Amino acid sequence: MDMIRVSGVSFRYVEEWVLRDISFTVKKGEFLGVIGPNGSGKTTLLKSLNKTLSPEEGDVFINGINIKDMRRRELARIIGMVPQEASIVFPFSVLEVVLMGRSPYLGRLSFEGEKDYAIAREAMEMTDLLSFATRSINELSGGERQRVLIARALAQQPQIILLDESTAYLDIKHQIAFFDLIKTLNQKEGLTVMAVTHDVNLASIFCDRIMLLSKGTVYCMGTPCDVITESNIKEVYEADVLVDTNPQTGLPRVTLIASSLSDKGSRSKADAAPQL
Amino acid sequence: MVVNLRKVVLISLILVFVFVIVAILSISLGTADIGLMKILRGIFGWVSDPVRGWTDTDRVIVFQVRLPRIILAGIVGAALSVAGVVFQSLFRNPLADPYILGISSGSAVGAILAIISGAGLSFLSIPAASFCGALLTIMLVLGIARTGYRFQTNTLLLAGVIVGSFFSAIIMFLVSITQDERLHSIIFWLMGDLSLSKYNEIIIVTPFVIVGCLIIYLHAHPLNLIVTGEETALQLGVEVERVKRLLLITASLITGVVVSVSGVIGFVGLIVPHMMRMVFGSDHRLLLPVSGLFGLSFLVLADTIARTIIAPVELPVGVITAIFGAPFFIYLLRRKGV
Repeated sequence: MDMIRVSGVSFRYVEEWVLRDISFTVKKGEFLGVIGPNGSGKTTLLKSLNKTLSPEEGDVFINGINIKDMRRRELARIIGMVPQEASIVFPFSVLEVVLMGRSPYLGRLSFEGEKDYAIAREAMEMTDLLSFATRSINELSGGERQRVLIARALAQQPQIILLDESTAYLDIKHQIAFFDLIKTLNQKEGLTVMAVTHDVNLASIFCDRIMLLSKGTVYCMGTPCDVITESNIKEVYEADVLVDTNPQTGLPRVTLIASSLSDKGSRSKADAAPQL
Repeated sequence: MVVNLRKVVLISLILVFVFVIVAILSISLGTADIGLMKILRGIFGWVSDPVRGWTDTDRVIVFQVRLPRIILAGIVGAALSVAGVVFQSLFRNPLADPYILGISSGSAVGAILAIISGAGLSFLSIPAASFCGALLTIMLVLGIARTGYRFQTNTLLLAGVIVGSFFSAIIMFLVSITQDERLHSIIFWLMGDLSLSKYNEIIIVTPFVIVGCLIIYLHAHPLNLIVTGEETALQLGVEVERVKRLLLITASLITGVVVSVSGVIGFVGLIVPHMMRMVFGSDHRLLLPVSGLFGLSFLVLADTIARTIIAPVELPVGVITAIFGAPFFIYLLRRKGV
């Protein structure tokens, strides 16, 4: 069965439509990347899937059930979301924030039990955070904070995880570690992943399929090889790129072309050639 | 660091014990010296001989003057502290306090009108008029900030500030046209004063505050999530708008109720939540009860100082909370970022 089915969703904040009649499906255990320029509706689309935003038109079905008929708590047991960054004003400890991932399973006043602690600890182990448990979240670096949010989403034990540019503020090591972790959960546990990212190369490496959004509509959707082409990127992003093959994976690889340096680049290549 | 039920109960009991000690000390202190031993003998010899060694004057001072004042101070302190936690958390702003929506100014206008009109409006007591002012302010602010059934936090904050300053202007107008001893009453009310505490006020106010605090405590965990961001709270299963609306109204109402009997006592609702956060962390399942219970002792202590420090003259308790509160707050700020 389709894990996520989106049917004719349109959304606007005020006047302008941000999403226009979007429909697609995601299978259980699929790793879907969502790319597109700023303002193409990526984050809005993600937020429409878990009732953070309520689209004016269209329906979203999770496991075949319309989310309009689901309570937030039920939905939070199925879908976890990792935001771009956290701004937590008051000094919660890392363990406290990760434990918040257990809240859809708690009663109104009940405190977390042994099982919840075990799950939170496991999530912190996976994200390399155990040694931070008692530290205040305000004392951590941006990257460390981001890992706390990931751990919180994992503690929700979701079937679907939504990533909203979750690695934008991470360094290369933690970016790769993060996507490796998600990919492992995706392959071993059948976690369904939908990842919004600006990093087309990361999307190419990790995603089974990629959706390219343009001005609130799906421009194209398919395997990385189908979607990441020079012409698609040129058309949607209005930027020149070089797409070749990643020698490690055989998947498309994007190289940015800086117009101010493109002359110089070709000249130095020309200079270098005769010396060889 | 991490909160569980046993910890909440244990720490709460300790704070209740602290309050009992503060209350006993406070009863024994004052212009008329009653003496700690006499009080203790009065309490522990209750069964055999309730008034051993007590004169009639002692009994009047203890039961008619000091005890109601202590009880009322405790309730006001607890309510302001709990409301302070709620406002700081809902606005995710460490500088928020129970008066941030302008409730203090609104109730002051009500109270001042009652004071000025004096005997002419005797059916409308000062607390009743003040509570009407508070209600009016709450409805105005929530009405201005409302879009549909949602409250945008920033709009709410602005609406509160604006309505508050409007009422402040009216206060200044009323003060400037008032003369004679009524001016003195107004000023005492504006600084927060517990010297006229009566049992019937306690009987009216207490149930409101207890029910309000219970409603708030039932939402302690959702409040934890809302503090980390409203969208995050939604994604973790909280019906954010419903919880926000309920907490805003409840915290505003208990603030309005206690202000109507105590006047505008500043700093309590700002400082107590911060002190408790520093000691016990940010988890509302612990933070709310400890703030309420510490608020009890805090305001009783402040009020005891207010009525004893330059006895026989009594100061408004708001003077004490501000004089000791502001430097203490600066100390906290310098010591550790809030």
